Amino acid sequence: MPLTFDTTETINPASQRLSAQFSPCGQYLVAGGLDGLLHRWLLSDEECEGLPDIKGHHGWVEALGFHPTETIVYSGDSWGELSCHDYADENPAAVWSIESAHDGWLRAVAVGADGSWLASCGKDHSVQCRKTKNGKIMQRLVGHETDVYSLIIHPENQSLVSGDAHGQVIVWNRKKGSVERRFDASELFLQHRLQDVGGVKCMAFSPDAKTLFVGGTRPKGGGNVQGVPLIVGFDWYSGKEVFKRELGIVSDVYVHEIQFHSNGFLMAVTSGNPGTGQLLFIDTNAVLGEGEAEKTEYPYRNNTMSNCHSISLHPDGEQFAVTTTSKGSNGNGRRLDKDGNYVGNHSPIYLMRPSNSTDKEL
Amino acid sequence: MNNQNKKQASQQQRLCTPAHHVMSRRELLGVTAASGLLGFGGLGGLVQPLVADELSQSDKQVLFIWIDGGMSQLESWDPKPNTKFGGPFRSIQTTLPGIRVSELMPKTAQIMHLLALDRGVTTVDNSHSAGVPRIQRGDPKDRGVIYPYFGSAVAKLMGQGKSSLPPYIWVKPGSGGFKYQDAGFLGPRYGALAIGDGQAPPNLLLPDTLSHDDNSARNRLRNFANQQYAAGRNPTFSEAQSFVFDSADALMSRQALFADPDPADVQLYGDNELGRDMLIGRKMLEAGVRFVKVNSYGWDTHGDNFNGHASLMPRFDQAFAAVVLDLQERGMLDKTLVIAMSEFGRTPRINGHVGRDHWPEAWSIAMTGTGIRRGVVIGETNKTGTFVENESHDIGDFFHTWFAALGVNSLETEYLNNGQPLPIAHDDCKPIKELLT
Repeated sequence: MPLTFDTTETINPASQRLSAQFSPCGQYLVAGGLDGLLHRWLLSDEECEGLPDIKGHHGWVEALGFHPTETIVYSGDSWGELSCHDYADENPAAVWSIESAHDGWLRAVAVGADGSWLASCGKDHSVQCRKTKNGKIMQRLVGHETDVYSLIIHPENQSLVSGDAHGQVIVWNRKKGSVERRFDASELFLQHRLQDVGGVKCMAFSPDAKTLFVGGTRPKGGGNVQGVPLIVGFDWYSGKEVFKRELGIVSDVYVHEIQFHSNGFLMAVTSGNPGTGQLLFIDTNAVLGEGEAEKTEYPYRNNTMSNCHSISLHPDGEQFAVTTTSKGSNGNGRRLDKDGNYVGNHSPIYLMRPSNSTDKEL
Repeated sequence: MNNQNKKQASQQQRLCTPAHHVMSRRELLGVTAASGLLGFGGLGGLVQPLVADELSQSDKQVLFIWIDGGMSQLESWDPKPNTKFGGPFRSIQTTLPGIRVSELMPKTAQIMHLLALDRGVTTVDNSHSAGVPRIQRGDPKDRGVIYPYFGSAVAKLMGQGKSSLPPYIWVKPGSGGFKYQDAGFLGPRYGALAIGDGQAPPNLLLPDTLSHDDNSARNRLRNFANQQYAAGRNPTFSEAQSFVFDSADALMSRQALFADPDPADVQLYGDNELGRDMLIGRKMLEAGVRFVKVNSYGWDTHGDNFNGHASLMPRFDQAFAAVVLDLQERGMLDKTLVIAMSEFGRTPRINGHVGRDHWPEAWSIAMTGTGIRRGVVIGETNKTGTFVENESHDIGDFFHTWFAALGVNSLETEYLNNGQPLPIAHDDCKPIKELLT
């Protein structure tokens, strides 16, 4: 029986968001965006109550990570600043902030399971480990030769893994501060004319922690980037590629985020040409032959949402939040509203949960 | 010509077949024969021939850097960090007090005192098919003719100079060949000789098996055939044929232009196709080519604009700063007009593919070199970069400005097309005095 989900709430922030994530306590939703602000909502069964923004960042806030047991969010911005705030405070001031944690765009934050350390990565090709208590640097890991886009920590042995703009995945030996091994996901990268296209956009471990999945695109060209959304899976122990799945056509472009749902399926969101977006549930245990992927019916596929940039699973393992971009977001030349103002886009965030009945769709 | 016809003509010019892109010496010669069918006859005069004689003696040159597809002004010349549409990047201080550019162009920031920048550009077209030709032709008033691209115009107005090399060379990725379409009503003689992927045109060099004596004999036969061909025809045909042949002949003697580059130059300009082509462009200028267009493709960043510019811009930055400094160090900047531009800018609004679309309303053009005031920034966009505040400039204004920088009086000089006098730039526009020395 196919899966179905209901949208329980649609949140409409006034400005564009890149990523909305549930806090580990499940009571808050925090979203970074293109305006240097962190939006917050307090969740209840009745409503999502908007809370005052967390300020202090510049540029874009894309990187978010949470302390596993405290109400602390670690956020990084495109100017390289890394900050720590108590997201449950009514008007939170920074617990600590490091203005130039990275030289330029800070892309991702990951927090260790015990909450004592975090890792960040970015434009300066480095991965850094810091104490969550005060932000003090513990290690600066060097081994990538380009921008580092994504981070993940192995759920069992706490190995730190990073993926970069050229499709290289590094498993770090944190004790030695060196590269332990590499996975080659260079299918996710293309040098097209002057442009580096693609990269490892996201990563996820299988529930049994034996397979590392990486997502991005199989790029076809730069400029107006086109490519087929692609997920590749590597056996964690042998490094052997054990899974590969294309998730659409060239205009669907990027897998932006992947995460396993408690039902065992891999959730993936894609964003391509303006207006295109997918939320997919993937059976990673299904063995498919050559060319079978496009004929495969997904356990769940929703392509009614426009440009899906992130997905976050609620700690209850059932609900999730999908961050999208408003429809009709593109267009050449001037487009003014009825008052003559130049208008931007916004980012509807859909809160979804499994349907009680099978005939309900978004 | 109505708009529909203009559009069709424009599309025909762009939709060239692969055959247009392969040039051999024989084909190069063939162009002039074909030119008779293309309406070459009776073209090409100036209302004031004496002006043309004077300009032909000028040693001024042009390096026209064409960023095809549309560089984002917000990720380059006119950053608006930490604003609604400003994007993720920081701005950095340049060598001009108070002037900042995107962090993606640190090398250019260090030569800003050599540049003139106009941040108040407003043009008409928001499509490539209309924008590319309209911008490169200077968007003149519609008089029922297809105007020449800037390179063809300069080739016509100023001639090939003393080098005897083709006056308009286009260095580009992809295929090479003779691009007669650029010349518009001036006729194929003023088209562009395209150097594709850094390669010399096929069959440019004489084969080893051909002796000097045999080559001379071949040339005597060619001259005889030329005389036979010219008999009874408009002399313009044979003049054009001789011109194109002589240009090819001159290139044949300049094999060094196509030699492998010095590794130090590669390091300076960048080990990529723009670095390669910019370096070839500099060599062409050094050899005396009047007008060199260096082309970069792949800038139409409707999708993934910011990751795109994160790798595009540093490569442009390196090649651009390198060529400006190189020309200066070689004492060539004072006689070379350098222009860097696209067909439009990119929208402030960020679409769902995290891209920017086409935006002719408010963008930037940078320039330096002969006749251009250095260390000046004019034009201003509003706080969010959406529109130009105060006075804006259209491409017609820039054509007047660049002609003035080259010593061409665009307010008085006219083409003579089959007896029809035509202004060389939009007659309602004028030179931008703040950009001129």
